[in-house]
Amino acid sequence: MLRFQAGDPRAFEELVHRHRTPVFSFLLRLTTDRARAEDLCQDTFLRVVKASAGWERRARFTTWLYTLARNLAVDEARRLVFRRAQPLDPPPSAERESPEPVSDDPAPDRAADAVLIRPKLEAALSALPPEQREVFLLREHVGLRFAEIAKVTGTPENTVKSRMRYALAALRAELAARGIGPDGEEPTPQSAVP
Amino acid sequence: MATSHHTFREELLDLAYGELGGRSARALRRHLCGCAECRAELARIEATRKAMSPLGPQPAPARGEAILLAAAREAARARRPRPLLSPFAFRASVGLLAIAVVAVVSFRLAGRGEHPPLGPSGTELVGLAAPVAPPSAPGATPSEAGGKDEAAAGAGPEKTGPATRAAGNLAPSPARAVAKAAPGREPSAPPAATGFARPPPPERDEAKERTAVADAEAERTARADLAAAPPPPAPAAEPAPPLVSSAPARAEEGPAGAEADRAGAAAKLAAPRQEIGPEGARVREKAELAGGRAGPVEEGAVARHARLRAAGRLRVTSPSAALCPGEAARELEVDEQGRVVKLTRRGTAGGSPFQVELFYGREGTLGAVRYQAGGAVRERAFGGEEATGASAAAPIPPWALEPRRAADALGENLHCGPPSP
Repeated sequence: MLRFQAGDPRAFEELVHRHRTPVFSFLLRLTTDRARAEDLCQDTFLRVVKASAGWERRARFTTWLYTLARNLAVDEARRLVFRRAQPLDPPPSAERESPEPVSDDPAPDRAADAVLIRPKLEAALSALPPEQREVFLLREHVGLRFAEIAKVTGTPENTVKSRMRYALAALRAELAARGIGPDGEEPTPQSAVP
Repeated sequence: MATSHHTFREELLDLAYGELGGRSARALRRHLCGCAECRAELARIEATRKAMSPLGPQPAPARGEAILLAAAREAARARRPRPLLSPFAFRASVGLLAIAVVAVVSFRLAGRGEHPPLGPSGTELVGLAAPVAPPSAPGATPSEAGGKDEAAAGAGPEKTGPATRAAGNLAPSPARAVAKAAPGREPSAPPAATGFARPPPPERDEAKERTAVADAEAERTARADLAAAPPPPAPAAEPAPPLVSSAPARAEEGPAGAEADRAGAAAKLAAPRQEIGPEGARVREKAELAGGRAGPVEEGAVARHARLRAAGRLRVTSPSAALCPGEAARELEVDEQGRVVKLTRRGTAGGSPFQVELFYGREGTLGAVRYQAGGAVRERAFGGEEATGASAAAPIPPWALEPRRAADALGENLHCGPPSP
């Protein structure tokens, strides 16, 4: 980022190559809309270009980058909610935010078929509430520490950890409900029954 | 113990993601050894993470990346340190500077071309020298000569005298060269004040002053010669006479005087820088002779003769040569140097008496002729129109104009001329 700030366009090219896919994945799973994710990803990097002149190395570039992406996504979600007059009722999966695990001892799965399981994983992830989903994505996929996630989301670190626990519990329950064991193996009907 | 268990349970997430410090991690691991509930919780966390691990990143679409890179290049280009002047601005600045230099040089050259010429023109000199100078102060002495400084400072007439101007460092000019070549110049001539309409440059001042003083000196000498035999009075107390012709000469010569005035004025205009000093008449004759003319009447022949005769400097002789047929007498008037100033011939031509008076200039050329025959007086100044006194019916016969040179009047080469005198 410092090289690009000094006027080296190749430095920005490296940044794009390194972060564009993770940002796009984060935005895609955060918004669950590919077109919106593309636009937001584009806007995020354009914001980087515009704001690069005044950028100061007070934090990791990744933290700053995902802060931009997350804020853009949140703002757009708010606009969409206002336009569509979506009901403020929680999504149907909210009732399953209970941290109680579906299965206390999931059986290991060594022969999971990624192609078959991934849609279910995506569905389980999308079933998480946005605040839990963004914390899970930022920690699990982006690799931010809880303290950094707290900065990105603007929430206390303990809140971030709580949301992470809830997210993991919800995913465990969602995966169990979709017939996926703790290790990705589809559980047998017997094991699926609590 | 319960508090400790709750604290450890809170730290399970940090332990699962590797964010727990070494001491805390070791303490938690020791707790896990004895706490099955915490071990089960940690196992669930790790199992869920493992279950979600196949969920890899979604590749970003290729489209849009070119736009981002283009925007980045544009921003980087705008962020690069720019030179002080862009190439276009640099070329424009150089062009404007060149135009400004050319304009300044042209303006300077144009301004220099509008200045008047350094050397005074002839007409300017005549016009400035023409005013009659008032008499200078009697106290003006050659000791007042301040040389070039006074002339350059545009000093008044009282401060400038001939001696001063003679000592001045004048710029070279043809007229001054003639003046220098004139012999008998009096360096200590009395000052003759001159008035100037405006203060010209120093060099021009000196030239005009010299011209005016020379004229005044010439006139003074002529009038002194005509007035009386005694030496001329103090010129400082004598007003400067007109430049063109001396009044006594005109009075003496009658109609020839007016003719001389006109010819003299024309000669002055034609030869603007002619010098009139103590030898003014001679110098003027030189200048006019150089111009191909026989010489003006007023200063050359008639006036010179009158002046010399009034001064008693003429000697009347009779030529030794034989007289022409019909010629009764021949009389020569020569100056102190033996130069013929006037030749008078008398006799009878065509049954009527005649008298021819030929006036010669200092250079020995014929300057004027006065021919009287049959009661008519005809005069002719060479270089001017023939004028008659009583009647202008007949021109002067050619034989009466001989000899043309004064030297011939002394010898046998006189052309008798008249076919039947």
